[in-house]
Amino acid sequence: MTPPSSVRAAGVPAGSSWIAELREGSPEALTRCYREHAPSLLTLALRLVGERSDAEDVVQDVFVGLPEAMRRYEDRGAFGAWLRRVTVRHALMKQRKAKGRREEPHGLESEMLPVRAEPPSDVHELVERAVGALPEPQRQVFVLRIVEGYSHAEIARLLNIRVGTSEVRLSRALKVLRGLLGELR
Amino acid sequence: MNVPFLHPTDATLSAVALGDLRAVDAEHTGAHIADCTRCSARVRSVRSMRGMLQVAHNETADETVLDRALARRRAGERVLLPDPYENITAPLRATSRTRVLTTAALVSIAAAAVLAVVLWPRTTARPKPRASDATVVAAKSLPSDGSDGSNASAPLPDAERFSIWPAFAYAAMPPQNAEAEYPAVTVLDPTLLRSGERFYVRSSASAYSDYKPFSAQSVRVSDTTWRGDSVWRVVLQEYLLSSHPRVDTAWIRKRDFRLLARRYAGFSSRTIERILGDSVLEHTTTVTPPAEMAARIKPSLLTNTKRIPLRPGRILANDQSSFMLLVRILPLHATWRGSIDVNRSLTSAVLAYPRSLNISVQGDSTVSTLWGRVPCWRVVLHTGPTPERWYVSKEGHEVLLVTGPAATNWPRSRLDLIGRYLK
Repeated sequence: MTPPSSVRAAGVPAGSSWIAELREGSPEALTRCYREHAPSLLTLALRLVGERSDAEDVVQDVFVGLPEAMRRYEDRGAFGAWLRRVTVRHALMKQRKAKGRREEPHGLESEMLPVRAEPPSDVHELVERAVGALPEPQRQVFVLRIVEGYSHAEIARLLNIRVGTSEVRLSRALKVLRGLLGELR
Repeated sequence: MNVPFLHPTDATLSAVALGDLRAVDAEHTGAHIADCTRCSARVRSVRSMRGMLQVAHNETADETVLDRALARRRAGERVLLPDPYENITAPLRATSRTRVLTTAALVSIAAAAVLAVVLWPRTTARPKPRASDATVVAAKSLPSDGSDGSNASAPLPDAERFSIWPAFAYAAMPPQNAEAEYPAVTVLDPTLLRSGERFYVRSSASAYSDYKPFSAQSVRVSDTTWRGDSVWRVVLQEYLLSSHPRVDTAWIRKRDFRLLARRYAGFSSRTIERILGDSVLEHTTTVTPPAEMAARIKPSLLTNTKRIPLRPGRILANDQSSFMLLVRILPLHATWRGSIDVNRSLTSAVLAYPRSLNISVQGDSTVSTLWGRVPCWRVVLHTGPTPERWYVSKEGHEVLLVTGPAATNWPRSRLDLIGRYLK
């Protein structure tokens, strides 16, 4: 399994000493890494879990466990891509556990949330809001497939669903987004 | 407009947009898209959304998140992050319900291995052999893929509720690599029940191991048949710090995930009492094989089941292990109080418990563990001038921490986890 090419280029650590410091849990190295990567990781986690506080918990966990996890990083491609994949799996795992403890409202998919009333500042924000308004199952598949570049087979394994289910969710997500955004060019 | 075939699916159009459609498909699909304004617009739309989301303005990451992360590390807390390139489980094969049932079944096996408890059915009429019969039964050997079906119709009453297997503390390790540096945290998944697979699980707060809160098991799964049914044979072997492994084998029917039989090989006699209802306590005794037999890891039987009336509000404990098990099944809440009758003196390394022990929940707390922060009830054992405080997880009722005379520590480092428990 290789990182999606779409995220390979992001965030390569500068030099092996930096990595060594991270592995040792150096607060300075963690701080530097956080300032460089946390904004994009938080954005990614927020897209997956939907709630900012949950997304912050995910990012916080990632940085608590990063030094130990770094022992597996060697020869694994770009650091930024690796970190994004760690975040994806941890976010989904954490959310799955949280779901096991609380009741999910039924019929969420039919209760489509409207895009917020205030006008977005630009088309980027419009798209972000539209994606954020997707029901969670569709949003996760959309983000993993379209933004992060995972294959449907990988998504199926990550979400513990069938490949066909992943494809259906993506189709539904795109249909909703087309309805909200029209055909973007 | 010349459209050579039906519109491709959104999945296909997205693959085109992402540039990862296989060449053979791309040729046909590309021809269609070139002539179809609808599909070409959809491809452009996906590319636009992808582009915009990839360059979107990122969220602002609050420095307090970093501060909290650093504080947790300073406090010794660690989080087992998953390996992003580790092979994850196969796509789901079963329905959600069957997944739950399978998990419950496997969970119950694990519970039995750790605790040496058999979940005998309440409703099945079974003979009650004398203790001395056990050796005879054991000598006959156990249900060996179709031979003995003494409890073939055994239901698993309340298996989920009474499981001592924590839902959040699993760690799977790569097969044939028990020395892997850091295990990936995962949940025990029914897709793990695949013939020929071997994996490792780890639990916290193993009551069976008394005050040793972590234990590790290897699980091997194979296919077999029993009485014409297709079943999984699951062999769970526990690794302990300084003793021989304990082996528990279970046969689970595939079509309804029912536990058909179990074989346990252990090295110490252990009696576990288990609440099965509001007013009935079911008593199950494990039978110990002779030492020379144990040395060869021969199986023994769990047998000698009897039912004991349970006085309201009073429960029994025979030893520390059963005490910890009882804590697992107590209906703890913020104002819960109770007392335990002790059959014989409950003695820890430094403390002899009184014969009637009052316990109560006094508030709650959060305990930091290797797998995260766990909300706990603070359970106080009124043992005299220096009461013990047991921090019992709200979710699974595992005893995660004991303070007081019999204070308990649990592994906090990777070396503790792997070096000590998986040699």
